[in-house]
Amino acid sequence: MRNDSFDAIVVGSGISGGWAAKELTEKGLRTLVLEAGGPIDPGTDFVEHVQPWQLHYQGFGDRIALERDQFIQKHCYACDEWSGKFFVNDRDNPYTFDKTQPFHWIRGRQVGGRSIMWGRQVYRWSDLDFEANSRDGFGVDWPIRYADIAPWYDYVEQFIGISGERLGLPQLPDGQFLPPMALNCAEKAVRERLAGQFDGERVLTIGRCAILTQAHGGRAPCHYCGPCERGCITFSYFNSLGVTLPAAAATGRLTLRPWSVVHSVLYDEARGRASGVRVIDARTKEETVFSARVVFLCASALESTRILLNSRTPRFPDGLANSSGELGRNLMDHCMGGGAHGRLPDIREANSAGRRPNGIYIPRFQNVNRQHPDFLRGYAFQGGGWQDGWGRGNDMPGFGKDFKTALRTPGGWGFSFYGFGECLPRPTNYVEIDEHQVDAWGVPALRIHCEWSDNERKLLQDMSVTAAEMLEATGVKDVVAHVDDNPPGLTIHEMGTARMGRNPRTSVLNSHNQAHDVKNLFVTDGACMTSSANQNPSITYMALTARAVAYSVDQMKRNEL
Amino acid sequence: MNRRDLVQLLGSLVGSAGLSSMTADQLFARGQAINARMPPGNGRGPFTPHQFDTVGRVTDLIIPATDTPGALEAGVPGFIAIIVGEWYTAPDRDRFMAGLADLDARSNQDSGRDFVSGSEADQTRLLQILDDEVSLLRAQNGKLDNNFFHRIKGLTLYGYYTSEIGMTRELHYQVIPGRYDPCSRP
Repeated sequence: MRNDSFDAIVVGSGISGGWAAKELTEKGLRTLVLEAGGPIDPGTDFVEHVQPWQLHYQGFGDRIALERDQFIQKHCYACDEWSGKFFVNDRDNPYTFDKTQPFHWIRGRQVGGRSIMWGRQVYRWSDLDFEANSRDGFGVDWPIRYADIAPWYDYVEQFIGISGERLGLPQLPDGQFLPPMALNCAEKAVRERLAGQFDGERVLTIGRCAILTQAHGGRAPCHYCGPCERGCITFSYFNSLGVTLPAAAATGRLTLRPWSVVHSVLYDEARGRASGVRVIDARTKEETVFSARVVFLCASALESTRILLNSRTPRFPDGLANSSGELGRNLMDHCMGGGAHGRLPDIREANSAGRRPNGIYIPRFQNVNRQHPDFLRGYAFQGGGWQDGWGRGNDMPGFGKDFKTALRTPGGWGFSFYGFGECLPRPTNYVEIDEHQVDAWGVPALRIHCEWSDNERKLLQDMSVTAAEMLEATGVKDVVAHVDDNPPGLTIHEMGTARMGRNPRTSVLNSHNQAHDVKNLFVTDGACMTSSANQNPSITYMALTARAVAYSVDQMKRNEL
Repeated sequence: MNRRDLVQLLGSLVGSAGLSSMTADQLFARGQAINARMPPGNGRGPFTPHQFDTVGRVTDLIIPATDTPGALEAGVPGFIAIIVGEWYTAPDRDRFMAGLADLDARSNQDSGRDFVSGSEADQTRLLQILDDEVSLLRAQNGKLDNNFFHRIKGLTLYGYYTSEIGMTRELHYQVIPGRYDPCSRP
C-alpha cells in the first residue's frame, strides 16, 4: 500500500469539488482531487453535435441495456442514447430502499461529475429561505444568513458566468448577470398579460442559467445547438471540467486522480483529526491511502454522507463526525411536477433560429407576503413556450404528400408551467448503511428511506391550481392541470444528511461547513444543507464551498487547523 | 460490414465459446455485439423479404418522395427493422408482425392480392381505413399503443425526421445555429 501526502484532499470533481480544487490550489495548497469515475476527453466524449442518424437506435436509446444496466438512471431525461455514458451503471452502484418508498438516485461518476449534464439553472437563496426553519420549527436554524453568503454568490457568479434578468425581488436576490437570453413570443405574451394580475406577485422572467450569452473568461458564448447535457465543446455552459478544474490545474498544485473510489476517511484517534482517505482503484481494486492536512468531501450529498457513515472508528462507531446522531438524517429533494399546460392559438410568429437551452422562471410567490392556510414554504415554476414540430404528426390524421408538406413548417404554440417545491427537513427521511449490500468495489451501500410528507403533496397540488389559473388568466386555451407522481430523488436536488447548524448536538457541520467533531474535515456539497428552499441548489453549493475554503485556509495560517 | 467480415465475426464467436453452451443472456449479448457493429439501416432485422417490402411500401405511402426524398430513400425501413428487431419487447414484436399479416389479409379480401402487389389506389384506400380507425380510437380515448398503424406511422415519422435526409433536406435543421431568434414573422 502506498502512502502519499498532500496539503489538501478533495473527494469529488463535480460542481463542489471543482470549486474546492480551484480555491485550495489558488491559495497555495498542494491539492489531490479524487474522482471515482474516469477522465473525460471533450473532443471525443462530448456529443452535443452528434445527430440521431449517427446513432444505432437513432436516439431511441438501447432499451434492453438501459433496463439491464441503468434501471434507475434511465428515469432521468438526460440519460439517453447520447448521454447515458455520463450516468452510472446501476448494477455496479447498488443502493436499497423499501419498495413502497422508491428513491431515484441519479448519479454521474466521471471527471466533472454531474456538472457535465446538470440543468444549469442558478438561483440565489434569500433570508426567506435561511430563516425558514426558525420561522416554522422544522429542522434546526441555519447558522448563516444571506449577508454571510452574498459576497460568495458574487464571487462564484462572476467567475462562471450567469445570464439572467435583474428583478429586484427580495425573495430571489439578483446576481452578477450577463445579458439574459430572449423570451420567445409565447413567453413574451404570457409575461405581458400576467403583469398587473395577481397583485403583481407573479413575475415571469427568463431562467437564470450558467450559460454564457457573451464571451466570458476565455469561453465563447452559447451557439444554441440545444442539448447541453451532452457536453459542450466550447464550454459555453459551466462545468467543472472546463472552468474550475483548469483554473486549479493552472496553479501547478493540482493532482487529479480519476478511477479513485473513496471508501472512507481515516481518523487519527490520538490527535482527533482526519488523517487522510482510503481509496480503492476503480480498475484494479488496489487500495491506497492518501494523507493530507485537510479533507474536503464534495462527492455529492449522499456519497459524502455514505463515506462518513463508512468511516467508523472507536470514537465514532456510528460514522465519522456523527456525535450528534444527525449524520444521514433530514434527506430532502425538491418535489416537482405540479403544473399545467395549454395552447396559444393567437400567436402567429415562428422560431426561426436556435434552440435555447433554458426556459422561463416564476419566482416563489406563495408564503412570501402572507401565510397560506394549507401549507408551509413555497415553490417556483419553470417551463416555457414551445412551438410544435414534426412530432405533432403522431396525433394528426393523414399520411402522404399533403401530410408531409404540413409537417415541414412548425405548428402552433403551447405553454407549460412546471413547479419545483421546497421539501421540509424531517429526521424520518434518512439514509443508513445497508449491512447486506456492497457496490462493485466492496464499499458498503446505502439504504435510503425517503417519502414526501403532506406538506410536499399540498405544494404539488397548489402548483397545479396556480399554474392553471395563470394560464387561464393569460389567454392560454385548452388548459390541462396535472400533478405528476415523481418519487423523491428524481429532481436530482437531493440534499441534507450532514446538516449545518450552530449546535454540535443537533448538527454535523458548523457555519463554515466544518465538522463540529473533526476540525480538519469539511463537507461542502448538498449534504450540508439545513433546509432545501425551492431554488435549484448548485450555485449555493459553489458559494458555500468557496467560503469554506477561505475559512479553512485562514484557520491553517493561524495554526488552528 | 460485408459478408466476409460477418462470417469472420461469427466464426470468431463460435471459436471462442461454443454457441450451444451459452446462456440465453450471453447469446443475446453476442447478438447485440454483432448488431452494434452493423451499420444501421442495412438489414432487414426480424423481417422476411416480403414483410420488409410491406414495411417499405407503408412508409413510402406515409412519407412519399416529393420535392424532397421520402421515407425509403431516408432508410426508414432499416430503422424500423432495428427498432422492431432489437428494441421492441417480444409481445410488441408479435403484435407488429400480426399487423403486417392483417394488412395482407385485408388486401386479399379487397382485391385478392397481397398489400405490396396491390395498386397504389388500393393501398392508399386501405391505409385510409387504418388511419380512420386510429382517429376513431383517439376520439373514444382508446388505447393507441397496440394499434399497428399508429405504431408504424409513429416509427415512420421518427425514422424520417431524425434521418440525415429528413433533418437536413426536409427540415433544414441547423446543427450550430449560432444565435437564437425566437420571434420572426412567418
